[in-house]
Amino acid sequence: MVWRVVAGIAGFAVAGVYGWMKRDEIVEMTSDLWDSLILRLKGKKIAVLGARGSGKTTLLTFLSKGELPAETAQTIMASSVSARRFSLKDLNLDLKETRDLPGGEGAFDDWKKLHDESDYVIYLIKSAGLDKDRIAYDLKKINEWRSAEKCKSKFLIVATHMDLDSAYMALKPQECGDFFDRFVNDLGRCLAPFKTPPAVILGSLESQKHTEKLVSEIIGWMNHA
Amino acid sequence: MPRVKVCFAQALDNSAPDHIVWDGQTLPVQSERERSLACTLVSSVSMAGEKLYEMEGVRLFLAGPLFVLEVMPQERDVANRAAPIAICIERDDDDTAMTIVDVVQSFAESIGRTITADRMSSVKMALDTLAKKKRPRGCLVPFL
Repeated sequence: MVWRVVAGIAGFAVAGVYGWMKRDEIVEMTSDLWDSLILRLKGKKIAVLGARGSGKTTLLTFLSKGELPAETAQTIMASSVSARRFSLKDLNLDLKETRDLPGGEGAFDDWKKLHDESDYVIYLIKSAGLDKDRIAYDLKKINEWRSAEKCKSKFLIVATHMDLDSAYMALKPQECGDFFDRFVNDLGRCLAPFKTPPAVILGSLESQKHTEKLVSEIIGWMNHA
Repeated sequence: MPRVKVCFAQALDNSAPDHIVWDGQTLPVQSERERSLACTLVSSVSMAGEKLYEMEGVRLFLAGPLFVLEVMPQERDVANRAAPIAICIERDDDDTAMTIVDVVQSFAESIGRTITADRMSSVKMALDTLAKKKRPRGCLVPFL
């Protein structure tokens, strides 16, 4: 009987130590992953481009302050977005200073300049009431800039305002793939100039929770791009 | 008369072309080059310039011989965002605050925007702050 008790305690202890070791291993792996991610993104510059009302200022404010802007206004002239440590849960990123630019077609010269000096270029699409003519025009221009030999930046398209799409909001996890494929297909001619279709992420900047989710996906893309 | 370089505002529906007046002429959509220059000029002053005033829906940036006044009219865009107008002017000590206020009022009215009396008072305060700042020597070339 005593031996049974001793064996039981020993078994429990071994299982506990094994579990502890595995947890340590996981913590170490996660930590390594964050460290390498932070190292890879440290000092990188992000350009956020997009038409008026697509969410550029909202996303840049979130990336620089970790919160959504209290007041919103049209961006009619460039402003500096200071370099700051961006924190999202356990993640801290030191991104370089960038610029918040207007979304009007008159700002293309400023867009190009920012595009050419950035490591990651994110083009925002306002998914509610897709203006395909404008998107096609913008992406044609961006593709021309990206065709330059020296262009080394990574490019991502982010569709914002998905919270206004009731079909998207009602999706079950297993239906997301089909919806995503349909959405990208619908962009069709807008993506035609690209030899390799750019990565696309769907999301929303409507609330802190939605924005955190979207930014996590963007950072995930940056890590693998 | 103030030497107004650019008057700028975005459309309230966020899809119609921006309202751009360059040297007193409304720029048509086809004038892509000039529209781009106007936009860049305003942005270069806001980026390179010193923010002299920011209060009550009015901001004033000063860069060399140019300053930009950004004023929030009452109207909001379709996304319920404030819809500012910007006026870029070449500084001249002979210009009075009233003549510049008239320019702001006139451009706002021409595109159907309303600027309240309180906001106009804030514009005058911004211009007072500017008047106290010594005019630097410089030319427009770096901004054009």
